[in-house]
Amino acid sequence: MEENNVLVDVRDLAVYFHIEQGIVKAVDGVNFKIEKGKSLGVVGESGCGKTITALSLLLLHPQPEGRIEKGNIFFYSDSGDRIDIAKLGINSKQIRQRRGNDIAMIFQEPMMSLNPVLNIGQQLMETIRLHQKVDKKTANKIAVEALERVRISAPERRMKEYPFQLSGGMRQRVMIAIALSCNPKLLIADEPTTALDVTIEAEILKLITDLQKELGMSMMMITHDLGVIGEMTDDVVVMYVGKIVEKASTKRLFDEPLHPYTKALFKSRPEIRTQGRLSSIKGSVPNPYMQPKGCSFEPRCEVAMDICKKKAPGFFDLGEHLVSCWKYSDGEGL
Amino acid sequence: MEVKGLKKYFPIRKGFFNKIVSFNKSVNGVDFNIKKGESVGLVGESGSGKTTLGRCIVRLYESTEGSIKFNINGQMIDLTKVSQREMKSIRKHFQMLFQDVYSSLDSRMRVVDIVTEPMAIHKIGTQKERIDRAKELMESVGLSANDIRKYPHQFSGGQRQRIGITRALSINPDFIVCDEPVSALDVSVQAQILNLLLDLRNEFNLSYLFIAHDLGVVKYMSDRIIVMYLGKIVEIASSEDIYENPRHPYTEALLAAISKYKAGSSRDILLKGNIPDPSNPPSGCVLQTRCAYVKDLCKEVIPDLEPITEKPNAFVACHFHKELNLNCYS
Repeated sequence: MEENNVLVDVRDLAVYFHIEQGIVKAVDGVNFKIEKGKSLGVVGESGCGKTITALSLLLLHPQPEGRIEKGNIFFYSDSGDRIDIAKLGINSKQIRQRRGNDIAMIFQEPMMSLNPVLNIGQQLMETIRLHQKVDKKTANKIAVEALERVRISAPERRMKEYPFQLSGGMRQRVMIAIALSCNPKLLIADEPTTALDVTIEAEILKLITDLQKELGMSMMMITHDLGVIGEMTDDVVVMYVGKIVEKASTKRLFDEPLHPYTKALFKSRPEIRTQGRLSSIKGSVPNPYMQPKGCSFEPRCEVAMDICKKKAPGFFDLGEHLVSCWKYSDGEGL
Repeated sequence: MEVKGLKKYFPIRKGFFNKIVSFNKSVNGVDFNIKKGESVGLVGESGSGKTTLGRCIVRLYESTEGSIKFNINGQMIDLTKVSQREMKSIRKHFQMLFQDVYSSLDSRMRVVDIVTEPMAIHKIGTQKERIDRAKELMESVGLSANDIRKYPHQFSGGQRQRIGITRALSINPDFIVCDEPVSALDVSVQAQILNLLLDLRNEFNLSYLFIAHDLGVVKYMSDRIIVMYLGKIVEIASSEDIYENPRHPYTEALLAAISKYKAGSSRDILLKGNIPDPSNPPSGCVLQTRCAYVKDLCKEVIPDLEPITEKPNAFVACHFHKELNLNCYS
């Protein structure tokens, strides 16, 4: 990986929540890079810290209880300068310039993230005028173009409509239009199609891929659906309870998943061709206050060994394919 | 159970006097039957009327037209005709599982009260017997009987759905309507719940109407599958047959939309646009506005749900189902 191709470089990031019941390590030492024009998938069950990781890139993680404990989030601007987002103040001018302008985000529930009392045009133009110094007329023109770009028919008419008048798929298109209106360098998509029907899901995913290529932006795709990962991403990280457990190119991960958790995720999806019972992962994601001392997946793992209970595994590199599991240690680090 | 010509229209009211201006034709004449011990899947996009149909069957909604006949101890009783009072005794034969496990359990009731309430309503057993049965059922759905005094918020999504299942089973129903019981859950937990529902079906000889928008999940749960679009049934076929040999263009489109779980794969998009307004369905075939194979005939004449000669219990509503060569799931 060439250094100058990197857009975002996250190093040893940790986000802890300090609440009455104790400390919740929502994100605990996460490393990943997003290259320019490439897309990274983040996959895992609910409660694995996927969303918090994404939100922290914009310093939008819940505050004040959530804090970035340590680590760096390096963002490389066009001129080659790098800034460390993790060191910025949450309301600083610098982060406000990044939000929406350089890094945009779309969310799972488009009804919740659109303002019900403003029409589509007002919401689009708000973003545009915040980041670009243009008058109302030009902003209006950019907004119409943004709606055309996400293939909404009759954009001038839609500008005057309110969110409740649109279908779920339409609302998600509007969200994408708002996110892309300022030509961001990175689009973070947090489960953008979970609330949609399968037929609409396929359309929206196609739209996002097309636009990503067209605009040459990078993408971070958060989902619990491995099918979406396969279609949308170049590289993938698998997260479990705040930690990355496996990291590889999408092709390698799909050809040969290594971590028992990744394998279990692949096995538990309903497959049309096979018969019989589904295999499931026993138990559920552990209580965040009482995490196991060793490997966090050990209580649910079917191939757990003695060492797994005692010591958390580090990363083992199997040639561009990182996995955090003692099975692949070859005696190293024991 | 037999459903004939079932319709459910929701009135759309407008203006100062709340005058009824038109009807939202959510379920617009459907016929099908479910045999004892059979599990039938019901699929379609949101807005196709699946949930409304499910709710009409357990009479959570009053149907506008048609009949729902239910076999109770050898007698066919039409649920749309019986009074509310009679309904109460009939209700114990069927139950419903809901999609939203957060709002379908009363957050101020303990698990023990949630699970024993249906038994109390139907006057089954004494208080102690009811609690014993609740404990026994909790163990059989994979919950700990020690948790019986906890509140719903102390459980995870998958565990809540298990509480919902325990509640549904408490009165020994013959038939359960499952309205997307796993769509709000994680994949790994989804598999647990689906396996549990299959085991319980064998153990208690239950019939299911399994509603989902995902053809992948339905395959696991159903012997037969009903495909619904805009208030109408467009195809009924056995669950093996429908994936290998779809006969309706809408079924083909749903199959194409199942993700392939391969790196670098993509899905074909066969349906353009959105589902039309159910208060003003298109003339002729319901799918004509979005169908890739549409011909003039489809715009004028409504196709009947006709039986397929070579397959028993298979039906399709398409004028051209014999001519079309549709792609199966690949």
